[in-house]
Amino acid sequence: MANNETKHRVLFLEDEPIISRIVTRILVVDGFEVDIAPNGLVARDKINSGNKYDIFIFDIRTPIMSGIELYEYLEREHPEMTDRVIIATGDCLNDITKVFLERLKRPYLTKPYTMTQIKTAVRQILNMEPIADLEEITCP
Amino acid sequence: MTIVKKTIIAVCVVSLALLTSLYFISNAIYLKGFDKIESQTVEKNVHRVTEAIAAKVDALNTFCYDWADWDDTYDFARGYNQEFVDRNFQDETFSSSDINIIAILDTSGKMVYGKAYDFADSMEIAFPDDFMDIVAAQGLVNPADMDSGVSGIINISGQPTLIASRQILNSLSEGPTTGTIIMGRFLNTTVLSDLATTTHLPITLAPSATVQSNPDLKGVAALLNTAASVYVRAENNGYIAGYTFINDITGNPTLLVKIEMIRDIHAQGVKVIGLLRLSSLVIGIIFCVAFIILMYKILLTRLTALKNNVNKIGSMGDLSVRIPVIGKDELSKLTGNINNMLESLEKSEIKRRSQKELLGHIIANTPNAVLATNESEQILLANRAFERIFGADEAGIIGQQFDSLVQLGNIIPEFRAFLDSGSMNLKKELQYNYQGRKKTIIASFTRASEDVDKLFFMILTDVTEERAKQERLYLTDRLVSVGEMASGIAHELNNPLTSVIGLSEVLAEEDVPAQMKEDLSAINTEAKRAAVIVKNMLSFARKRLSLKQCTQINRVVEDVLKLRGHEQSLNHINIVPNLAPDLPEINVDFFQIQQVFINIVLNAEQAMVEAHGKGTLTITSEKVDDIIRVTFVDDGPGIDKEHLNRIFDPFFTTKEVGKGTGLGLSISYGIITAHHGLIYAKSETGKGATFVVELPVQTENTEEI
Repeated sequence: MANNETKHRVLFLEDEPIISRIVTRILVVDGFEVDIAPNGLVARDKINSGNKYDIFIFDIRTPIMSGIELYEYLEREHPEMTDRVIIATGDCLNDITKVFLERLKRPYLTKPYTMTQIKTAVRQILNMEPIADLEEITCP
Repeated sequence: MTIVKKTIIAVCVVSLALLTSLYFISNAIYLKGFDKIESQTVEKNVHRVTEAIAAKVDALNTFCYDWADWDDTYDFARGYNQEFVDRNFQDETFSSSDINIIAILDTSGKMVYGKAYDFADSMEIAFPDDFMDIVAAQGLVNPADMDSGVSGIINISGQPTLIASRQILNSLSEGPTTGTIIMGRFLNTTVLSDLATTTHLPITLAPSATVQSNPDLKGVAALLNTAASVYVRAENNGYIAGYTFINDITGNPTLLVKIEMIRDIHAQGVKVIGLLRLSSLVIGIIFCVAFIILMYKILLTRLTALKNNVNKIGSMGDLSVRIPVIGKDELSKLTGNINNMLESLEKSEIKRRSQKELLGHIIANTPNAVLATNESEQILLANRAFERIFGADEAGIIGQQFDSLVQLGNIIPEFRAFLDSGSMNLKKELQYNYQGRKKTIIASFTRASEDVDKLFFMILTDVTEERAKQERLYLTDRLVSVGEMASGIAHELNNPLTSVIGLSEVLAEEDVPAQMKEDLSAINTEAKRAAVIVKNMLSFARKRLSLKQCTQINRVVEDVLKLRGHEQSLNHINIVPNLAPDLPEINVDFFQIQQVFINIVLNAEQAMVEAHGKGTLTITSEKVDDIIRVTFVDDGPGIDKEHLNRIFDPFFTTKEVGKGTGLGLSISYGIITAHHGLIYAKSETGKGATFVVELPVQTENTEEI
């Protein structure tokens, strides 16, 4: 996994610098290459400038362009990428979020998530493992 | 009385009055007129009689004059001469000239010759004894007037006598006088019949002596003395009599003359008046009949018809009927006016009726109970809502005394107090309580008018639900505002909590001293605990899609007991389940209801263990009407009174810091309210607490909450 050519690239959409830092740190330790986008617009530019990403982790509430908008953009422009998206949210009970997540039928993380949860989610996407219960702290 | 009768009576009375006045007027004017003419005729005839007597006196005087101025008599008075007597004083002289007495006196007044003769019996009679005394006394001897002598009437031996006296002169009517010649004629029946023949009147003469002895004539005489010279009097025998006195030579009344006439004129008058009255009566009757017939034809029959028409309309109450208008007179106009009046009445009646119907509909269908009474508290009106709320039969209670409706409970004294107060309006919110039925009612009492017919009514509005809703809404409002704040806070806390949890995790994997590792683990655990609280806050604050499904409530209870079973046995909590076996399944979110039951059970366990290290929790489920009721009764310390109405407030907790969020019962309240149910607590300090959850039995499927 330490091989540069086989290194998986992760695009992490997160506006909280401390969270980006911790997640980057643990994923780098696990041999991932992590690209941070503080908002959806930056993330979109990164995708469109030819970068190849194996994993997308989108926080929903981000400035300028939200994780949902970005995901919907992918659905329109790069539908092949959508099954590699992990949604992370601080508020799974918000109505819009809720509708969105129900439509997605994709694994998602709720904040505050643990590092173990992040790693498990990423691994599941890569191994195409069936979606298991990711949540240690679940929504009621 | 009808106008017809009145008119007939009026016409008859007026006619009768007119006829009566005519009767009296005819008496007063016509008969009096006739009587006056009669009386004047009598008077005239009386005068004719007195004039006839006066003419007799004059004739006697003239005859006496022929004898007085004659030389033979002149000489005879100076010396008696038998030859003169034989030649002139034969019986024929008396009978041919209707003379009764001739006396010749000399100048000394001594009678030279005197003879009395009754020419009716044709024989000489005795010369009256008192003749000389009377003529001397009456101044008939040597009368002073030589030209005309003295003539008149005197009484001789009680016999009224016409008398003439002259001085005897020679044939040239020259003196000196040689004596006096006196001639007399008795005013006896012969004279009277002579007079009667002359005047064509029956004449009666009464000398003074006779008058004095007859009371009737005495009365007549008295009237004649004081009043007129002629007195006229109707006699009983159908005659009218005229009376007058004839004076003697000295001017004293000496002879009462009475004439009588048949009352032809009076009788004629009476006849005329009779005819007049009869004709008036006939005319009056004809007038009455004709007038009444005409009135009847022209006015009364039509008036009666109009009256009957109006009566018919009045009795039928049908204002749409119109009276036929005939002709163009005042009555036709009146009929037209009545028709116009009927039309406007009909219009206003229709309007009034529709307004009344509208009002009736409004009153009947208003959701508020309406009850009206009169002054004596009799019920005049009660609408459907009243019937519904108080279970009274709307029609059956009309006319009853309002206080006989015992189901009005404490409204009765309130209404009575209003009646006694005399005020016009009173609006009051009452807590109605009758046989365990409790309601909050706004009672509006009104006094309708100050008129004769006083009207009181009450409008009762059941605001029990509104008040309960307001109460709930108030709590819900508080929950929502707290929830919104909690949502914001929770969301903001999630990011730093992610960092704390992540960092502590990452750091713990580094090569750090064991002590520090333990601390980092503590940081991680505490942050996760904070995260749970935040999640609870969010779940309280946010609506979420709830998945309703047909659920057996008993199974929810059993599930909760299974979950808590281990802990409960550890804590010496004894559970007494008392679950109705045949509860219907109801449409609820299984997990939400489970959460509610867990909250209640946890609270109970915690309270009982804290209080006496053990306890009994009785859980009862039952179906009451259309609800399923689950009751949790613990034998813990109970809930203080001042806390009881705050336990469903968010963040209210009596647990020590860190042991409770104060959100459990708030969330439970939110869930049960969203299920259209009720959750409430009953408790007294030291006697345990009872929590009751009531859920409606309903069949609808999933519903957004």
